[in-house]
Amino acid sequence: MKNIIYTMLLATMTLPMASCNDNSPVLTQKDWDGTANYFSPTEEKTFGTFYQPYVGYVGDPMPFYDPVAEDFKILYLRDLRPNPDLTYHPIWGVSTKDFSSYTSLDELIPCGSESEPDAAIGTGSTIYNEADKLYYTFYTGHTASQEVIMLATSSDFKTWTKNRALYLQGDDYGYDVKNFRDPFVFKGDDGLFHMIVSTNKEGKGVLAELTSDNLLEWTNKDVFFKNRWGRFYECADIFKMGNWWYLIYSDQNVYERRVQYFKAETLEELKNVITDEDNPEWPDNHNGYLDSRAFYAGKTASNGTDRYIWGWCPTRKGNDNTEVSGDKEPEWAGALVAHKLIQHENGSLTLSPVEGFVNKYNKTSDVKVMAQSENGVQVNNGDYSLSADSHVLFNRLNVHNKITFKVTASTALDKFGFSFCRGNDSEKFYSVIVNPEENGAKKKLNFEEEGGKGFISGADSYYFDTPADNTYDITILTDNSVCVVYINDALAYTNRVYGLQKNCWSINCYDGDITVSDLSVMYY
Amino acid sequence: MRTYIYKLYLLCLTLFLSVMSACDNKGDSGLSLQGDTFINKIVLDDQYEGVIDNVNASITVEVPYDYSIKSMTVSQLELSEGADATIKVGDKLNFSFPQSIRVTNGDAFFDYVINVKNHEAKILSLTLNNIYNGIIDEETATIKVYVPTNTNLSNIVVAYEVSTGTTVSIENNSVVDFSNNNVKITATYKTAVKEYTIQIEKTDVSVEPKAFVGIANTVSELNDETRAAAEWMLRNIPNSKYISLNEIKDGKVRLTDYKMIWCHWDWNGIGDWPSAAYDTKDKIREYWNAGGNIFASREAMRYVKTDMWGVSSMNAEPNNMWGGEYAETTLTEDLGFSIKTYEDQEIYNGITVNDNGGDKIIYLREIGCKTTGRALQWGVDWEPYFSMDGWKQKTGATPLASGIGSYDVNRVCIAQYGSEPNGTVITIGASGYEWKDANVDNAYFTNMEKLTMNIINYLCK
Repeated sequence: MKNIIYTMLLATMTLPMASCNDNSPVLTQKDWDGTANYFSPTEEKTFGTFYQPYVGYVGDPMPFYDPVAEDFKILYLRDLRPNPDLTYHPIWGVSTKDFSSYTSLDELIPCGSESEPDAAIGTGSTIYNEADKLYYTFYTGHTASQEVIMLATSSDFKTWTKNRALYLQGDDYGYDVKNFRDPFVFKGDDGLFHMIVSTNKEGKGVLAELTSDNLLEWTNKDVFFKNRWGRFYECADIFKMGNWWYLIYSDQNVYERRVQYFKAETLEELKNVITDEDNPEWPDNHNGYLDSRAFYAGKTASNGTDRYIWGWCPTRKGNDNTEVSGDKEPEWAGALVAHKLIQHENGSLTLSPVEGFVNKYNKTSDVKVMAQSENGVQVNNGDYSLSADSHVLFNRLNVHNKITFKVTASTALDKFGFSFCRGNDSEKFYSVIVNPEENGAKKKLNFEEEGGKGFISGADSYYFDTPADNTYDITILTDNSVCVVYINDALAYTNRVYGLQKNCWSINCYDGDITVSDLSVMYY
Repeated sequence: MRTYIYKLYLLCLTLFLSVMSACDNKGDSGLSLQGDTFINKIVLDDQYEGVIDNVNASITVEVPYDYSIKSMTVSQLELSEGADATIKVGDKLNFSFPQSIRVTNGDAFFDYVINVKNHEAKILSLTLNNIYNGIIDEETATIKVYVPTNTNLSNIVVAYEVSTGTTVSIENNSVVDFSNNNVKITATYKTAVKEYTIQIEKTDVSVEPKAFVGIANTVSELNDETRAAAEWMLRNIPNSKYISLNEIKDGKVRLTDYKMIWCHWDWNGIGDWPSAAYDTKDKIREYWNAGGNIFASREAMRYVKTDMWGVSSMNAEPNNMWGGEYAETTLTEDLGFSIKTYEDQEIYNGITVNDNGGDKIIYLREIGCKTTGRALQWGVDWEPYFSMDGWKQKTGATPLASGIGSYDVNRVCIAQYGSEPNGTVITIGASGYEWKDANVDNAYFTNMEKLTMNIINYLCK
């Protein structure tokens, strides 16, 4: 009897141990590089380069160069989906020294309770006050009935104390009580602090100005800028770079929704760049557009040597790359995209890649041709010649890629581009096309769902001059589904392309004859 | 065997005891939650003590009617023993806005919201003879009440509702003589004293109950265009109320309480239609089927179609619509609509008509005014109607005015629908029937008012 019980007990105890010995075969590594069919990738939870937090999305960024810690702090409105009804968009932050990575600072300024004026929060700006060694972040308190400018201060950028006495209300100064937001504070050459506020005066969009000598008591200085056609300009930013003053703004109108800028040689002249509303003094020959509709709420910060701009790239409804149009609002918030500002001789600005980002992509990927058109493609030693209606399909991209190549076109009317999400079995794929405009004098990047809806409205770039030598230096940075294209220090173009990572891509020629050289694909 | 069972027994016992000792959680969590976290007393500016409500976590401080609350000092603050608070004695706060204060004790905390209120004496509503509702204007301290022309003014019953604690110089439900003009009454609450003037306005406009149906939950949340229309109606049309689409959707209001409803909707022609407009289509359809009358203007007039309110026998929207974007244009000539062949319609009684070479125009907006130019018209000679008769047959509508486009009679911009047992519906999509800034430098504003008043009156018959 004893033996039976004993054996049974022993047997039951060893049963679980038996299953630990796994005899099933080891899963084989898929030979990714050898296949070219379409694969449906997932998004990483956090994006490192075009930052997206683990939970939630990045809304209106407030970049700030911290002169004490000597790094960039980027505060932003944290968007949740769905947001709570009344209390939403608390201010969170990230910091970076050299753009090699972002460190999350977590929540910095929380929302007030439902009955307080900052139940929901709108954007603002940070300034360091030498006089009392405190950081001042002015921000917007938003409720259904009003918007007020509020203030929180901190000595260490970690703990913030809300100022319970400072509330700036629009209707105290003759402005719109419901729209009085995005305070931007800077120190003028006159030694005074200036605050620019986005608001309406008598139903028309303006930028209002207030001044202060101590950041606590503010005097109304009336309208700083009359917006074109009474439009509403959000997230205004004013700075001096070299010998020029700049105003960067985001036009809220649904037909616009891009970041633009104006320039002038003095602050006074900057206020008057729009004397003729139909023909303002544009700062360049493309209406001051800095990027596409996929880059909104751009604001800048400088470390004294270089100035960078941060904005958000919207997500697309249902992760559908065609859920975008020129007459619809995009989803609010997304990934944090950053560029570096380049100032040209005539004072105009364009955006270029951030060196710190570029340096992250330090592993080389072997470029392999997976397929090519039957006719029209010639491959010689890493250079590719393509004629009309031909393409070369390259091996799968990684999750984070830097693609660089040079295209030499034969004429100004040549039309070429590149495609993502393109498996050799793909019916539909997404292309960025360098399209000749104005009889070849200019170019514009168009975004198309080839094999599907074709041209996607609201996802194209601004016009840029066709280079005189028909040569295009193209740099593409990708991080998950966010991709940014730079051409020749003349064009920056951000877009959201779901399905980009881990899929093949191609270079295409639609019209004319092009040569592609110096092709390199790096990743991290 | 016995020793074996004995060892098993010991094993079970040890297991049992170790399990039992783990159930004792005292001291395991490490959180200190014993202390209380209450405010026992708070005084601002040395004299004003707060009334503390621990159930609702709110504190109310009352101050005299004209006392400035923009910078008040916390002069006394008594908390539970051992507790700390985010506001300290000596702090200056701007109480124009609610302020929150967190009281902590160890790891426990409690949040209060502090509201400071100036004394206020307020009449919230007033009715005469229990039927006629007063329109209260707090700024001018007048209460305007419309009564039918033949009302006997010498013995009117005055009933009112006031804010808590307010007393009034006349008793509630007293009989008052209004035959010698306006009557003044005084409302009092502590240091606040307010004298209201009750103005009687005799009118032939129907005093039947009416409602303005808006997209937002309150009038103040409406956009400029619809808010202007709503505020005008509440101020000038007897017995009007504001109700929101959400209240209709949630069943919080009964449409059949109203003889007519005015739906004036606007979303600048761009973007998604508000879902509440779709979610309430059946309730509004039922209201109309039960004899309810509707005045639908601007975007609302699109809802008469078959699969929305079912008022029109055609499931189609106006086939000639444009305008309504945010950017406004300035009128280079007066804007209106033509009533040629419709001059005898009741809704045009008493409105100045401009002959304009036979076109018979009623102007709505003057040259120089801004407009979004929103127009919703029927091109009756186009597809799918191909003629005036074709349009009338397919939609079941009666035309009442022709819109712009050389005032062509084939561009219908005002129409009427409905026959018994259903109610009557009048739609306006005429360009120029716009309420935002309608009374700013616009000589034709009186036309807007008279037309709207006539239509509302007509629908209340």
